[in-house]
Amino acid sequence: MSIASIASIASSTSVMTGGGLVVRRAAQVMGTVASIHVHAVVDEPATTAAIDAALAELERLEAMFSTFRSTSVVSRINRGELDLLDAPREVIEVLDSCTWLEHASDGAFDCRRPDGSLDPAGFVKGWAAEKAAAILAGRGITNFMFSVGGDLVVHGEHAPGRRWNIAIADPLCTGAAACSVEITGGAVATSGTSERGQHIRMSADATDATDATSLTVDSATSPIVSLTVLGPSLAWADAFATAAFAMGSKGLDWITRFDGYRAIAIDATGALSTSGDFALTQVCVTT
Amino acid sequence: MADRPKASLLRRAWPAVAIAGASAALVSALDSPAQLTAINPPAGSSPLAGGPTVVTAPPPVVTQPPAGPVDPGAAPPPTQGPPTSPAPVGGAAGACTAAPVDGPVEDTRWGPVQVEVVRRADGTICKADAIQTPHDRSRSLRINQVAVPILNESAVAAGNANFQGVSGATITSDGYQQSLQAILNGG
Repeated sequence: MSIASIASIASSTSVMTGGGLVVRRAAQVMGTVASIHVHAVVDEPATTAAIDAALAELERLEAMFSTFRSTSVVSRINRGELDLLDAPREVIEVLDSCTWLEHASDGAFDCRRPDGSLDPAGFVKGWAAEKAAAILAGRGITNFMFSVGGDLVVHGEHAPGRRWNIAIADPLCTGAAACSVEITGGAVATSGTSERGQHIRMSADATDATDATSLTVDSATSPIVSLTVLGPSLAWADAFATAAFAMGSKGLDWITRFDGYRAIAIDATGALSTSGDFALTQVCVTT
Repeated sequence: MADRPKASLLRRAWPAVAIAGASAALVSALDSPAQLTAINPPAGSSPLAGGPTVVTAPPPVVTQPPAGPVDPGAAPPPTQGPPTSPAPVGGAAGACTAAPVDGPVEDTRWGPVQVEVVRRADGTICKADAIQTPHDRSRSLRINQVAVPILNESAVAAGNANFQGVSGATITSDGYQQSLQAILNGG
């Protein structure tokens, strides 16, 4: 029995449902849990093999980027054993993306530690999950959800003619959904207070607002405790959620500059708000 | 690679774009499909040929972080209240009333962590919590939230058949998982 059994009853299950055969897998990766659900499975062995390949890709990328592994490329760069420009192109790609987002977020997002060493974990999780999910799609898997630690991407439909219904976790009530979104494809990624201090540089605004000692529960000024981004790319939805959350009250407005991305914020009173001109009911349905 | 979303206003204002020189071309060349199989760009050879246009090139890779970074260890506590156990996860597999089982204490970068779980009669875990927490209260709050995303999915699956997935904030904690894994291995 593995840690993955928490995310589903066993680490790997296959069940027949009204929508056909469903194969689910959960695995520990990148310090969290990856969860893959394939619906309307046509070829179970091929599906299992595709999931194996996707998880192997996550493991490969973790081995490349993890700052917890002394043998990773990032660790070698940080020790001065490898020059940045001699790094594998995937490392260049990630650092390039990090740099772009650092500029685009005015420094709210950062892949470097205070001492200047690399710590791209804040970008890598969503990016790696997107690459791994692409392996499933590349092998002809059409209907699936691929989640790594609560940031997920879906393809196809969960049952014939049925869109995926994804709950946004209620940050104030464990196990409950604040609202839900229906999507046929694309990503849903959420950042929240629990991520603070890892790779998020809080804006002064946000830092003040989320300091428990100065917390005021007021619907007009209440701090955002969870920010979810919807959009076509999991890598960017995840990164935008991280950056926008770090911006505090300015985060929702910031999201509007990216075509195809929308956001849902939840404040400390549990109130929901959305980016741009989207009505909440257009984005996330409360139940 | 994921398509880079549009941020035209920012791009126009972005001084780095104006460089549009060798460093940007180098990055874009490394990023081009033609280089997909080149794990290590060969030193000394020019990777410039075949790269995409410089206009769409990303900025130079190496930049200095802005001044005044926040020390992660000095972050103020999260906004949520005192440490609380995640709500027991409902479901058809039985009541969540058994005696809790504790894992070993694991050292993490946030301090020692110990996990406590409650199983249903069928062995599935219905509750998990970080019980041994560091001296710093803000850290214990942070660690405790690790239980949330892991439990979210089973909570949703067990409690509401209308959802096929759940998105929520998460953090990574090797210590939490090591302690939890030890329980699972022993069980």
